[in-house]
Amino acid sequence: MKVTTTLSSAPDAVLRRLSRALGGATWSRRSFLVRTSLFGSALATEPRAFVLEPRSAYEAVCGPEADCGGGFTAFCCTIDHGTNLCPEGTFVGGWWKADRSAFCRGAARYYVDCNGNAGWPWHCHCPETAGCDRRHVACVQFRYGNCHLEIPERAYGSPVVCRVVTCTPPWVWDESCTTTSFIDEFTAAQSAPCLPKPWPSKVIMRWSDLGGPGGPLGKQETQIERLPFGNGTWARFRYGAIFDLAWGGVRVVEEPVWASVRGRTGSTPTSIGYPLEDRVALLEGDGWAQAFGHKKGSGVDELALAVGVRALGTHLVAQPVLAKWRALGAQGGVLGYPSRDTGPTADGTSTYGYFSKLQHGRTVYRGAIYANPSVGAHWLRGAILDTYKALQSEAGPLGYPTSDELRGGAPHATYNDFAVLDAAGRVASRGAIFSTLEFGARPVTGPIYEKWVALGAQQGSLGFPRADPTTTPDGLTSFEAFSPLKSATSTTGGGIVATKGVGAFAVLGSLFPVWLADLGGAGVLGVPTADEVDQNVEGVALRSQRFATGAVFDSAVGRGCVLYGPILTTYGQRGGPTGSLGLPTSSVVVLGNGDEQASFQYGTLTYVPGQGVSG
Amino acid sequence: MTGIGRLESHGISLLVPRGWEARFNGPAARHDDGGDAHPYLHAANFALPAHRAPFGAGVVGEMGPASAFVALLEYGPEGAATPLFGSRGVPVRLQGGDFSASTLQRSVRGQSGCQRFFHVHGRAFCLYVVLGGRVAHQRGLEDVNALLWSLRVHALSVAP
Repeated sequence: MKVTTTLSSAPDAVLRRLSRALGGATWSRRSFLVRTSLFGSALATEPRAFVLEPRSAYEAVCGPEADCGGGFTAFCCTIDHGTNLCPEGTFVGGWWKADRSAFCRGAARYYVDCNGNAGWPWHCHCPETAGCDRRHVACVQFRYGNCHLEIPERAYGSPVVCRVVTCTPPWVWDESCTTTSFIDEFTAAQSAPCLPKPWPSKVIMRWSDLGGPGGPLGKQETQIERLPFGNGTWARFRYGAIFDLAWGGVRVVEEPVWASVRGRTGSTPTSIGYPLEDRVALLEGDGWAQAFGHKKGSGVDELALAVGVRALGTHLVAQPVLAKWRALGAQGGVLGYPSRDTGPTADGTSTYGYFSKLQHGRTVYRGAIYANPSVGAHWLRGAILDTYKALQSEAGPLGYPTSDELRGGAPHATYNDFAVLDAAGRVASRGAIFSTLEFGARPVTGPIYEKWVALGAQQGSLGFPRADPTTTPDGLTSFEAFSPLKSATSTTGGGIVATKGVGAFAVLGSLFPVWLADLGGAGVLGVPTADEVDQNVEGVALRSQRFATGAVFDSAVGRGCVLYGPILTTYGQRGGPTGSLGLPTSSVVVLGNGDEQASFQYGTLTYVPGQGVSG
Repeated sequence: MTGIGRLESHGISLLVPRGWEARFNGPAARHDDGGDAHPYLHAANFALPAHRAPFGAGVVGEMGPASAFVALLEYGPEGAATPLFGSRGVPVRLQGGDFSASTLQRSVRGQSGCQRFFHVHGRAFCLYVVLGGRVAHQRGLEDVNALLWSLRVHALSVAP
């Protein structure tokens, strides 16, 4: 038997929109009859004998023909521990109704026959009950014929075991039932102690429709209680709650949603409001969802959505993360289903939620939405998210995402922008994480990021970040390597070196390996103090760059020549590349006797410790 | 209608045996709750009570040992192609062995019933017959079979 629930009542337009936005399955809409006056309806459904003639207490509860020999079948709740559902070994064989029933607050009451399955050992008997519903069990072979039409007629094989009553039309309650309707007012007053009394609360009426204590909500745990601020009433059950909202109809919250929202809705101080709808099935991934919120003007203000799927369980997506998630296509979009509740960030200024994109029940990648009041809500996923988390997320050097995932200017290259914010919400520093197939997801932050952007970012000569940044042991210098994805040359790619008190400078192309070979400046060069200088010396292209304690010269006559110390000083004094010595053709080398020597186009400089430079 | 005669309504016609009363209830209607009511026929060899339910509630309590009651109920046409309504044509020549004291919507001492689901011309029906007692198994069942033999179900035109 399939129990379904419906969207119903007050702000229908809003709820239909919510359901559509979720990709919700189509749900039949319940159509209640207009409630008539209590007196008139009671008379219509409780035959005059109930009101005017003296009757036993038993008869008043169970109605007429309640004995085993009365010819009618017992209610299922009488024989199945109070459960108002067809018991195991039966199927929903058909239904009829009595109109204007007090048991359904003036609306139609539906009687559903539970017929025995073929081969099940049902036998005709009188129920063992201390109550007044002593009607027989499994004694008549009869089909109403408007449910389970796929089960063929068997003249003597399918007894009516018991009857379920509901105030919800059976074709809503069970998809096997048709709308073919038979009215039989002769059974209108029949009932049982385990069924709601006439004019039940809407909460109890819905609970009984769902099966009562044997249904998905289980036993009732609290009396009907008032919600604060005149919002209506509610009651808690073992596995859920039912709300009769003054502004929004009767709503059921059941497992597994209940487990994720209990304590956050109801009469306790609430952050998510009240259920705006019953749980709906989602079209993608066999998931479910239920919206929560408050009344707002003539509509509702949706505060949170409980969303679940078997692989991940149920999690709350709250505003403003919820609005962003919906804009991305909700569970069918790029981020998929929530994998944890939306919660506050450590600094308390923002909220975030985590998600998982599923395929065949397995996670393809994880995603997240971070929502900050200053920079808005943005999403990231996959390797970029993993890198972000490894860098302590919003509490790390990247801060909050300031962009959604963007295309990075090359196939499969993507990135997010980030910013560290000050107490006033202003950008204190910027950064990014770039993800490429070749290099993975790499962060670029602070002065290195600013220098990289100034040089054209990934479209400039440096290209894409190819490794995580490295910080020297003294903490003063950080550097990061970059590379174009294809067709690198001696002048593209390289690195950016940023030193506190000095600044950030790019060391491009073939000069960067030279600097790295010098132990990242810990050898003779030190940190870069200027960008590269390009010049043409007598028809020869020269690239040179100054460092704190040395320099690198790169030309066709001498690749990656490293000069430092007295020889570099002397070379400068003699005019450098345009002076009498011309271009370097070697790095400074230390000779066997401890002297140092470097060669140039037009000469050699030799440094003898204690005597100076000659040549 | 009482006395022998022809009765026709809702695309169904029959000859009513002498001494029988037959009435159609209908027409088809959509209820406020979205349910669909379809026409049904009641026939009996005694006066039909004014207040009756489709499967004979309000009627069977009035039956004596010689009484016979026939209910022919139509369902939505979507049922016609289903296994439950898989039998084709109006059942005829019911025999005493087709009736059982347990095949009743409501069990009443002495009564026996017979229930058949079938389809005709794309229309789905349930035939439900109640015999009041042993006497009805003789003369009453003959009349029931005569009524069923005369029963004709016509195809309904589909609205454009």
